[in-house]
Formats: sequence, C-alpha cells, structure tokens
Amino acid sequence: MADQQLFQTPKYSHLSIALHWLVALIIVITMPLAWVMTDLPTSPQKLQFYTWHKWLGVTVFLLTVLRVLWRMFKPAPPLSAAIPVWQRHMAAASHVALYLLLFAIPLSGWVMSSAAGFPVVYLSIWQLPDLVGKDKALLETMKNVHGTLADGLLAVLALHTLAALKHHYIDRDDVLVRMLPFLRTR
Amino acid sequence: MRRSLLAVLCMLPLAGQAATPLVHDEVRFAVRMMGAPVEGVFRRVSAQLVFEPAAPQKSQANITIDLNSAELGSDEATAEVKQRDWFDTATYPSARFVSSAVHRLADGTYEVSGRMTLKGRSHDLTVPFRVQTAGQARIFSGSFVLHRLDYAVGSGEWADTSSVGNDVTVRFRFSQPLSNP
Repeated sequence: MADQQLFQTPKYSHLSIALHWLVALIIVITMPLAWVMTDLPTSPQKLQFYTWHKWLGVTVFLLTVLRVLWRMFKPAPPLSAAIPVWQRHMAAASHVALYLLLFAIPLSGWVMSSAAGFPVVYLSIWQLPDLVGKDKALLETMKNVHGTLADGLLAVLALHTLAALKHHYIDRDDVLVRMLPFLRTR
Repeated sequence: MRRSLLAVLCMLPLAGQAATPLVHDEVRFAVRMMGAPVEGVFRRVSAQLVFEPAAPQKSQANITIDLNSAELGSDEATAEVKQRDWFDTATYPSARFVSSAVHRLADGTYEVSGRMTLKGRSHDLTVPFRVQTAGQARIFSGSFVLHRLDYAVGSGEWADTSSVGNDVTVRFRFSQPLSNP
C-alpha cells in the first residue's frame, strides 16, 4: 500500500482556522446589522443595534491584530506547486486587501464615533479614547469612508469565497481543505 | 403704579432681601446610554438668588430652565429630547427649582433643599454647592444626581434603564455680581 502520509496537505494551524471562522461569523452578523440599524427610527432598539455593531467592530479589530501577529509567528502553509502563479498573486493580493480592510473599517468607525461625540464603550466597560474631537463635517466624510470600505470588503469577500469554492469544486484541489480540514481530501 | 406693585408682589417669595438675578454660566447634564456617556447643556436658564453668607439659612434660590434650549451631541438627539417621551417641551416648556432651606455644612460647603418640578411632576431635591469669590463676583457651583424616571423623562419604550441610565448627573455654575465687595 502506498504511503499516503507522503502526500499530506499542508494545513493552517488550529488557531488560525478558529480565528478565521470566528471573524467570518462576526462579519456575517455585523454587516446586515448595519443595513438594518441605519433605517430604524430613533428608539432603544436603534441604540442597541448601533452599540452592538460597534462592539462587533472592535472585536474584529482586536482579532485581526491577533491573527496578523500569529501569522508572523506561524506563516501560512505554502500553496501546492500545481497552482498557477497568477492565482498565487491573486490570493496574496486579496488576503492583504482583507487584512487592510479589517483594520481600516473598524478604525474609520472609531473616528466616526469620535467625530459624532458619541464614544465607544466596549462591552459597556472599556471607553475607547476619542481619536478626534466633535466635528460634523468629518462625521459626514467618515460615514462615506466607512460605507465605501465596507462595500470594498463585500466585493473582496465575494471574490475570496467564490475562489475557495472554485478550487474545491472545479479545480478539485486542497485549497479549501486547508481552512476546513473536515472536508474530504480530493 | 400697578406695574410697580406687580413687580413688588413678584419679589415677595424672596422677601426680606432684594433678589439678585444670577448670571447663568452653565447647567450641563450627562447620562449613560449602554455605558456610553451622553452630554447635554441648557442654553437658557434664569435664576434668582438671595444669599446671606452670614446667615445662610435666610438664603433662597429660584431657578427656571427653558427645556427648549436643551442641546445634545447630535441634531437627532437634540430633537428627540424635546419629544413626548422625554421632556415633552410642547406641554412642559420649563423646569423649576424653588428652595425652601439652605444650610451651611461643617466643611464650608452648602446644601439647598427645595422642590424640583419637571414634566409636571414635583419632588423634593437637595443640592450640595460651594461658594467661591472670583474678582467682583460670587460663584455658586455644584453637581447632583437626578433620577429621570422620577419625572417620567424617558417614558414608554425608553423607561428601560439598560438603554438609557436612570441616573442623570447635573452640573451647574452661576455667578452673582457683587455690588459691594
């Protein structure tokens, strides 16, 4: 019997996998929350949704810091040699874009809260310092920045997800298995 | 003749001494909304005061706050606070504090007891304050905590204190020009 161990798929560490899916879950909740909350009339529920949205944003920021640090300590597993160079470049570029967006979006939200004069108090306990003073014009600008960056995230996420599915169902390679190890190897 | 008689009658609640109008420096308030501090200010406040440093128990205060002059951090909040669930300024345009007693405390600060009327409801209120002299003026300042639900401020869906806290901290500062320093 051939030695199957020789052909092990290099996988992400358990911590990387856990953090990846945790952040994914938070994004899936945080974005629709934003779409709903901005349309609500002034009410305790609107206040609650905005507050939860901010808490989720701070959490993504903190988790992304953790993930970047972890990745510096334990780099991502190398892609199989069978994957064309242009796809490796696309992967690297979209991952960099995702990390940048996951920092920039919460940061822009933080500036927005500061400019609105409504500070973020994380989990009702930790009050984040104001990055800027109250500024109505800046608030309007940041609303656009935050929204546009979020649209950008949606676009890159769509690409990210479709690419993963392409690799798994069309190329039938192990790219997705690296992040979802319970999937059968092809 | 009638007008000056009316003026005298208005002074009677603060009889004994001529009440001097105070310059309102600031009346600010703050509350926590899901932990986040929200601040507001009243732009129009009128105050009448009789203050006797030698005999503080003869002092009296009469403060009227124009609730329509409230300003919060955002236009949305400023508009909201005047609505029926909050101040309901259409029905109750002002809040009033009328003192009944003033005491000097052992540490040199003071306490004024009186009646606060807000949104049609009246409650006893005791407010600590201190008096300082700055140049040609006497400064009265202090802060106290008011429970908004006692006055049905933030009623209906807003009565839940997990959204907006019940404790409202009020900070004030009034100056009284001294004619004979």
